[in-house]
Amino acid sequence: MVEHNEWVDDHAVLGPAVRGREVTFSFNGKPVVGHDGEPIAVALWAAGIKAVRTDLRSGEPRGIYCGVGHCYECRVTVNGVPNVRSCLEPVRPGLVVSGEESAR
Amino acid sequence: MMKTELVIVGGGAAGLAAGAAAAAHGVRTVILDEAPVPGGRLRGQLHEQPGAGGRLEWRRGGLEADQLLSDAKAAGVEILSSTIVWALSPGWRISRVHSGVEEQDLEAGIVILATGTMQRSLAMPGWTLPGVLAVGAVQSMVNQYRIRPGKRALVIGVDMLSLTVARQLALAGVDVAGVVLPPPGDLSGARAEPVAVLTELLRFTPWAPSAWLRLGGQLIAKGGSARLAATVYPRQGVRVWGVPVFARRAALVINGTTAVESVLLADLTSEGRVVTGSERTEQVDFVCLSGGLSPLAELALQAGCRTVYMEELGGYLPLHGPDLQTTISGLLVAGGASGVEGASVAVAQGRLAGTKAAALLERLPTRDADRLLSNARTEVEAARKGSPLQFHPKAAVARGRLGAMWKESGGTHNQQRSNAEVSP
Repeated sequence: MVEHNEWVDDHAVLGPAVRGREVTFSFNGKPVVGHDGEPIAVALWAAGIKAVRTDLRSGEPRGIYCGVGHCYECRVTVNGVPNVRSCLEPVRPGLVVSGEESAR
Repeated sequence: MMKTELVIVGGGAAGLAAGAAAAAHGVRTVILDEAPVPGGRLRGQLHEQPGAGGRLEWRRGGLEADQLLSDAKAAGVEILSSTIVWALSPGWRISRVHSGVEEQDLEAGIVILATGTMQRSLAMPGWTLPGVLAVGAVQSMVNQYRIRPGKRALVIGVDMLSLTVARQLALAGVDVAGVVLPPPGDLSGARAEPVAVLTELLRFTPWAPSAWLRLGGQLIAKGGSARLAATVYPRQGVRVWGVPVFARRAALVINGTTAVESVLLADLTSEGRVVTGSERTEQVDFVCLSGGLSPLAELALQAGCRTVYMEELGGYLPLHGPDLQTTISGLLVAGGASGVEGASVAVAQGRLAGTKAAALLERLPTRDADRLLSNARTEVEAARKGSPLQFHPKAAVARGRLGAMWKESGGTHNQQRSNAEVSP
């Protein structure tokens, strides 16, 4: 069972969270609901998906690490374009995201 | 080729401030930023800092980024988001990729590098498991996107930034098991040595967020040693902002099959050796790694700037003068790329670099130029003094050394390429 991670809807210092409208995209063939303004990796994490990719060489699961676009650990294929950094790329309705790497 | 007068690489605290300052003097300015939304790392920041009158105030990075962005836009700066700059050639000619597609080069008389910092990696067994997040990822997830990364966390790496992030996690309702050292060994180096870590931590004395740390700091100020502090460091940890900090405990292995499940911990002697039989497993569902920050200035290297190594400012950085000019004419640097010091300093440096760019383009009124630049330099110094939460307590000393090195170097050269001078 996939356990959803909680949103920080209320915060003692930052106050209530403001979220964008819901955006549905697909990840490895399954629908995922994120929010406008969220990067793919963050929307996946919120949906309980930490492993965004299976490493081609080691077969190990990999997830978001640096979160700021430097390490490329969270690279995914988006609408057929490989090596897109899911920590930066915003969710958009109907995006097809895949974590299967292919040798190029 | 698309032409402009000033290109700023990076739309974070320094870049946005630089753009607003230059455009205010009528300089045609374009900011190129890698992220879909400008604001850089500032958007994830949240900490307390003494404000006017010395009272502690919350600094909300998201709000500050919004303000800097609207100031830059109001001044007429053009901001191109989702744009990666991959080459800087003499001229200046700026090669870029927008959302994965190569676009026409930009041409500009002056370039300001405001590329910020990078997180130093902290390699250890299990660190590639999903659920291991660097500090930057945690900050954006919790403070910007408002998602709790998990229920129970362990923070690995003891420094001011990691303590700040541990506090942010606690504020977001995450149970923080503690802040511990990385595993002893070559990969962690001094970051896993209790004495070295306490030496740094106890320098923050006047503002230390814990009675024990204040006491320790006073001890050291009176000639006591960090070694003694390490010897008497409580085994149950010291609470900083409600989170237990263990300066004599290390994470040895991060465990899990498809994601983080637990971390193997062990106590350390004051010399940093694992105490036999002290190993135990801590159940957590994510880990935050803090390996420190370094200036990110690859484009300065590519352009052939002379670089220097300054541990106190995060490592290699472009040698630069009092107005943030590098050794190559027409190339300036501002913010984290010029040395790791924090957002307030980055903003002030951005304004200085933007004002300097306007001066180089002869847009400052002749009778005001010196005063405007001098004011901007004073603002940078004021920001430094007003930021007790410095990343390195000796940053100011390093800045002094940097100034002396700049004078010795002979300053800015006219020739735009001198790769022979580039340090490794």
